[in-house]
Amino acid sequence: MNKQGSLTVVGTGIKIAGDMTLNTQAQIKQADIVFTVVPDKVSKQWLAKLNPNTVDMTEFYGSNKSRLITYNEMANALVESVKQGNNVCAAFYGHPGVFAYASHLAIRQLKALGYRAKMQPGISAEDWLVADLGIDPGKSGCISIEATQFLFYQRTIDPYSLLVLWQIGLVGDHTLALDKTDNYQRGLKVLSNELLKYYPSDHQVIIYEAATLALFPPRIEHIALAQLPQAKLTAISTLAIPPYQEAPLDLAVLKQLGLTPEDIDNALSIDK
Amino acid sequence: MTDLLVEYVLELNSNPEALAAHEANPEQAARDFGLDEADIQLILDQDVAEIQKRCDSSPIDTKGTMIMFFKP
Ligand SMILES: C[S@@+](CC[C@H](N)C(=O)[O-])C[C@H]1O[C@@H](n2cnc3c(N)ncnc32)[C@H](O)[C@@H]1O
Repeated sequence: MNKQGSLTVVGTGIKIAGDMTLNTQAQIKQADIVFTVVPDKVSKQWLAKLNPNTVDMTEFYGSNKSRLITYNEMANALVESVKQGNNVCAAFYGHPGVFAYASHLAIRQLKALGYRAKMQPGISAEDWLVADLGIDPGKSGCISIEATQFLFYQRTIDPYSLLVLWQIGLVGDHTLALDKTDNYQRGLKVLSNELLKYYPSDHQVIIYEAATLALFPPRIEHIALAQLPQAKLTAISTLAIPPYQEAPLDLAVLKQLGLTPEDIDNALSIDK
Repeated sequence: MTDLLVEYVLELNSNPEALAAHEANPEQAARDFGLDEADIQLILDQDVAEIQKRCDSSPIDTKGTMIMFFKP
């Protein structure tokens, strides 16, 4: 039998208020207590309107403090509140399970202790990217990876697919402790050199920042890859790299399937 | 204390009709919402920095936005 107390993790989306599903709003309203990790006052004001009993978990961040410690403190706060018998809602901005750590950790820990814990999806920055840039990730496939992880570990990319690099404003930082995105220049230069192994220097890349306030448009800045080291980035910048070209057909595989390139062309042609 | 400018931003984020009215005539829409002259001027000037400050929304601040780290 499940113990008393539960956790539901929800996402507030990127454009606050407008991006929240009805279910997410209901979860927030009906919770005993709401723990929030949202970046601005607009979001906080909106959440407090839905449920006045909110706790701002951004208080756990600290100057020169590793975010890994902060995330563990966030997960602990959620676990402790559930243990006290509360029906807890944790509201993270964007999708609460996309490039998030504390949310997954708290759910795992609570389930292991026999409590009910679940996540509701939300609208992530990548969802807005697809909408604003008009790029369908299903068309060519998509690789979505944190920029520093791409640099630090031996990873390869597929230039025939869309590449989405997250947290580019912190690229190359190993301290996990920066509280401002003002130290990315060296990492960005190294990243650009790595990307130049896959793409020509004039390949157009896009610095993307979804609008969080409807008052202002999104940032959609097209630049040549060679210009990337000079780009001005923020904590909400994401780098989108469209496919370099169409992938060539794999003739050996087609042969095994008894197909020819013409069969594929014909199947994809609408003037039959 | 709620800030009416922040309320207005919330309204535009969540109400397509309000956003359309704002886009058609920002001054009138902001005035109809009850914003004072100073706030209406901020909107007309498209004073991004000041409005972001009022919304406590700094795009270079990692607090609350960086909730992942690089380990695979
Ligand atoms: C730790 S991740 C959190 C992502 C969030 N959970 C989501 O679902 O979008 C932070 C990164 O998300 C991306 N991001 C966050 N807000 C964004 C925005 N408004 N526009 C574009 N990318 C954004 C940036 O790459 C940023 O460095």
